[in-house]
Formats: sequence, structure tokens, C-alpha cells
Amino acid sequence: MTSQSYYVPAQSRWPILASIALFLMAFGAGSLINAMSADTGGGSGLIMLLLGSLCMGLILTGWFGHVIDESRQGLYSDQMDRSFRWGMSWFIFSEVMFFAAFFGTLFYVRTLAVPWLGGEGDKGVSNMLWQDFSASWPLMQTPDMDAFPGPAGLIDPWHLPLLNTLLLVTSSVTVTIAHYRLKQDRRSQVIGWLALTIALGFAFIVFQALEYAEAYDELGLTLHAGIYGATFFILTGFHGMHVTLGALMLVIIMLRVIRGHFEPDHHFGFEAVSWYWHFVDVVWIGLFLFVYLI
Amino acid sequence: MIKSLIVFIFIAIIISLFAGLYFLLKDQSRSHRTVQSLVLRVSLAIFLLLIILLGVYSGDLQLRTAFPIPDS
Repeated sequence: MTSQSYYVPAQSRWPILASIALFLMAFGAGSLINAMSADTGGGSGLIMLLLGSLCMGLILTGWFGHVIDESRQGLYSDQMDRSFRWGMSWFIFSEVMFFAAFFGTLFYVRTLAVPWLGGEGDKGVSNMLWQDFSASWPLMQTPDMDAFPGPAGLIDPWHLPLLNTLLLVTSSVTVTIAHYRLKQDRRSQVIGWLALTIALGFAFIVFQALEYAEAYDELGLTLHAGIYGATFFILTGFHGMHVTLGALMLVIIMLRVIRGHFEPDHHFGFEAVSWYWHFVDVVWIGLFLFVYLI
Repeated sequence: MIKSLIVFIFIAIIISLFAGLYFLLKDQSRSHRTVQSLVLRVSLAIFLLLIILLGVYSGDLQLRTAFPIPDS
């Protein structure tokens, strides 16, 4: 035990505000998808989603700013530093569980549930429900094509997905060079390499949006195109949200470097964001392999 | 064979990534171990992409999708 004092921050309004904004986003997104299914337009769902997103952006900016100010005032002890590291650990644990659940869904559907419905394996008897159905993956012909028509086509992995893979892997190289330059205290180079990383990250998001437009408009690959469409969009969509969050965090880190924050031997915020970017890249490689390619 | 190699490299990528996380939490930014782990991680990712492209060009890696790799 040490006698070092533990810095306890004052009560904060950010958690409750973030909860309200997240509720607005989730409720708005749910209402929007329901309205789209019923073909009644976006309406209030879209407004709530955009309002929630705007509030969340403002809250993150304010919250990060608050923590950075307190850190710069020297209010954080070594104990507080360890608390940040534990916070990061639990955050990453939840992220791993989150993606494990979705990748697990993909494997379950692909290797178990769909073959069962096609009459294979232990529970192949379930084929009696749709006797004309034969299993395949990607599932182009769903058991009930009237209720859930399958996609007419698939995303070609050698165009936008390959380009996006190259963009993200390159951005991991550039963020690692920025990391090394920070260790060497060559700050102008850190800013340059970070700016390049951010540009690559936002380019990824733009190309992903183009891919979605192609999927919806030309391929009939939508959220309603059976289980393949649903798993495709939930995996790539949540990954896209993580890239967006990671890119925003990189922007904040770059602004901090411009303002002279971080030392070569004291830069947890920088290192954590850099690591997170690598994590997002590894998830994408998993998606490229298991959703698009193999 | 090539699929096993891809899975092996992918697991190595995950191990090097989480080694980086361990050093991030343990070393308090004072060592180079985090960034070194991440260099290994991204090098393995580049290697993996090369193996995938090589496998598809040579025909050793059969894709489930109907898309042939574009002719260069």
C-alpha cells in the first residue's frame, strides 16, 4: 500500500448526457429502419438519429476536452494513470466480445444453421419446413424467397473491398511511423504522418459508403436480403462505425500534438489511439477474409 | 495447406496485436515494446495479403465467391 493520494474527479454531467444521446441514436436508428421497411420514409427516426449523433459528437468533444484539461493541469496521479489503463482494458474487452458475437453469428449461420435447413447434419430434419431449399453460402436463394428474397449479386472483393484493405493496412503503417517519430520527439513528422493516416481513414469510410450504395442500388444486397444481407451489414456497418470513431480520435490526437501535448516517454493517449487503430484494422482483415473472400 | 497458413498468420497477427496491448498497459509509454509489437503486427498483415493474392493467382486458394481475380 502507498500513501499516495487518489485523485477523485468531481461529479460529472457527461455520462448521463452521453446516455441520453445514445438512447436518441438507438431509438432513431430503430425507428428509421422500421420506417424504411414499411416504406413510410425516414421521418422522425432520421431526425432523432441525426440529433442523437450531433449531441454525441458534442458530448465526446466536451468530455475529451475536460479530461485533457485536467491532465494538463497535472491533476492526475500515477494511480489515476493506472485507472485509465484499466478503463482501456475493459473497453477493449467489451469490443472483443462485441465483435466475437458477430463473427460467431456468421460462423454459426454459415456452418450450422443454413446446412441444417438444407437437410444436412444433426438437425437436418428441419428441412421438412422448406423441402425445396438447398443450403449454400452466400445464401442467394433463401428458404422463403417471397418473404425474404435473396440478393441478386454480391460485392466483388477485388474492387472496393481490396482497395479498402490496402487503405487500412497502409494507414496502420503510417500511424506506426507517427508513433516512432513521437518516441524520437520529431513532432512535425508526427503531425504529417497522422494527417496521412486520417486521410486514409476517411477515404476508407467514403469507399465503404459507395460500396453500400452499389449493394443497395445495383445488387439487391440489403438488410432484407435474407441472413447473408443481415450479417453482411451488421458486421461491416459496426466496423465502419469503429473506423469513424477511430478516425475522430486520431484527429483529436493530432490536434493535441499540434498544441504541444505528449512527451516521448509519456503519451498514453497517443499510444492507446494508435493501438485502437491497429485493432480496427485487424477486425477489417477478419472481415475481408471471412465475409468477402473465403 | 494455404488456408492453414492464412489461419496461422491471422492468429499470429492477433497475438502480436494483444502483445502490444499488454505492453501498452504495462510499460506506461516508456518502452518501445508496444510500437515494436505493432510493427510486427502490420508486417504480418502485409505478408498475409501477399499470401492471399499469391494463393488466388496460383489457384491454390479456392474462394467461395464467384469472382475471379482481375487480370492485370
